[in-house]
Amino acid sequence: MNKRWQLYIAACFAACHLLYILLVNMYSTITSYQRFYHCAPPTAVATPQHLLGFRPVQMYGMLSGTRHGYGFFAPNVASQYVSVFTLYQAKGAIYKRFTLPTIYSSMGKQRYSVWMNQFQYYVENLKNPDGHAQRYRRYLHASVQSLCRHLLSQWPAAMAIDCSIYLHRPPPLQQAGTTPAVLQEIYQQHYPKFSP
Amino acid sequence: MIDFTTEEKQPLLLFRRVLAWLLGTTMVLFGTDFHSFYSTHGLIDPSLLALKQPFASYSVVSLSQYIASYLCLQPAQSSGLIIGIYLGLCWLFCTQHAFRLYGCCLLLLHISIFSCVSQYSYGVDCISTSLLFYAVCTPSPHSPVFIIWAHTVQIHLCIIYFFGGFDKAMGFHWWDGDALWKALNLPYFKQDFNGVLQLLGKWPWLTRLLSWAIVLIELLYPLAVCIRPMRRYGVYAICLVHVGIALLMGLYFFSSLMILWNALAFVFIPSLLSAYYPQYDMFYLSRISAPTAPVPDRRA
Repeated sequence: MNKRWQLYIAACFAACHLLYILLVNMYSTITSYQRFYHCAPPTAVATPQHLLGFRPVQMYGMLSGTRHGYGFFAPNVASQYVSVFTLYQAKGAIYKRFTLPTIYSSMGKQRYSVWMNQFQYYVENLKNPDGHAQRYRRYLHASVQSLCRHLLSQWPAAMAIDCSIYLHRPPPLQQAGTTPAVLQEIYQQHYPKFSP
Repeated sequence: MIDFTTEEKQPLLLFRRVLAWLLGTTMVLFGTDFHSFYSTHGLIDPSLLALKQPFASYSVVSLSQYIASYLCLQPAQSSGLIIGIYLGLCWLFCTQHAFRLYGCCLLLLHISIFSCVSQYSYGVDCISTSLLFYAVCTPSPHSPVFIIWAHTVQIHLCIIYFFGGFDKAMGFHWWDGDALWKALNLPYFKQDFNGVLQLLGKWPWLTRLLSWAIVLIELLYPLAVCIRPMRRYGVYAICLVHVGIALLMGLYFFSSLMILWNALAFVFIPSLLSAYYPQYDMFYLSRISAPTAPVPDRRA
């Protein structure tokens, strides 16, 4: 192929690639802004949503690592969710209490915290009667149940498990050092070992 | 000081080696938890994970199931085999021969592990995938397409920082310092330097100042790297931010990848462009013609 044509094709591909990145980021900026300031899903950005949801476009985004926007910790840093698991013996005595499943690496802990971020939508839509919100709550409930089943299988002496999820709120900067962080319980479930 | 212009393709090889080393090291460190996250016997049932995955059949959990059933292995053995293949591909990716083939395989496996299982995926996975994507697509510096690839890598990095800064600037908590304070207090992010954290709590003005500095550095980065005398300071400032993120939040992998991307975009690429295209002017693409051989070392 002629070198000039090679150059034109590469330039077109690069332009499309960069335009896609720009579109993804503009969409991500608008959605995060509307969620943060108006607590509402975006309404005026339906066209890019359809375009970005197109299967080949999604696949390209995944292949090039450009599927998500780059607003790391923006516009605000969300509070994190913390889990507390309590294992019980047959007679109801507490057998063990811990905050993390068996995770050794710091990257593992970060990935676990990413999984816990799913509770953000749960908290935002706790009383939402909408079908999607209800399905999401059921999905999260099933996920926690699966995690508890996994933990119970690791501790054969335990007969039941309690899972509590807390929202961790550090003190405001002005009160740092004088006020402790607050843990607000947002989810609590009890699972016996042989629950269906 | 290393002179990258003396050896043909040396900067690109170095970039590939550092990237492969970072990916491999991270996989070795994460390997102990790999089975808990990405296997059929992991923390969360694979069928539940698959419900929220756009490409569930390509995910590592499906791959692990397939390997386990095909080779009659236990799930833990199958996870071990996947880690072994990943590390092997990282090693092969460092070589000169057929690096694109190994790079493609590594990219697909990397996506299958870290991007497909979206519940455990975060920013660092996008950055590592993009870097692998660019490493696989690297054209030869002899080809004029190299210039387009080079500028795509640079512009992409500028977009990352611009939107990072712009999104932060929209949130008022970044202006009063609360967001930075909150980010440094995230419970699952390891703080290696608690003394610094106490100092920031004692002096709120310092936290506010750092917060403004981060927003401004990210916002002005694209401008700084476009102005030749400012480029060096822009890159130094952003690298300093990444060193801070690594030390204070424990995000070592993310910070290393971003520093590598900066080095690629504004150290390796300019050195290659000046070596192969000394007459290059980005506004006159039609005048570009690939040189038949690299320009000899200027000191010779």
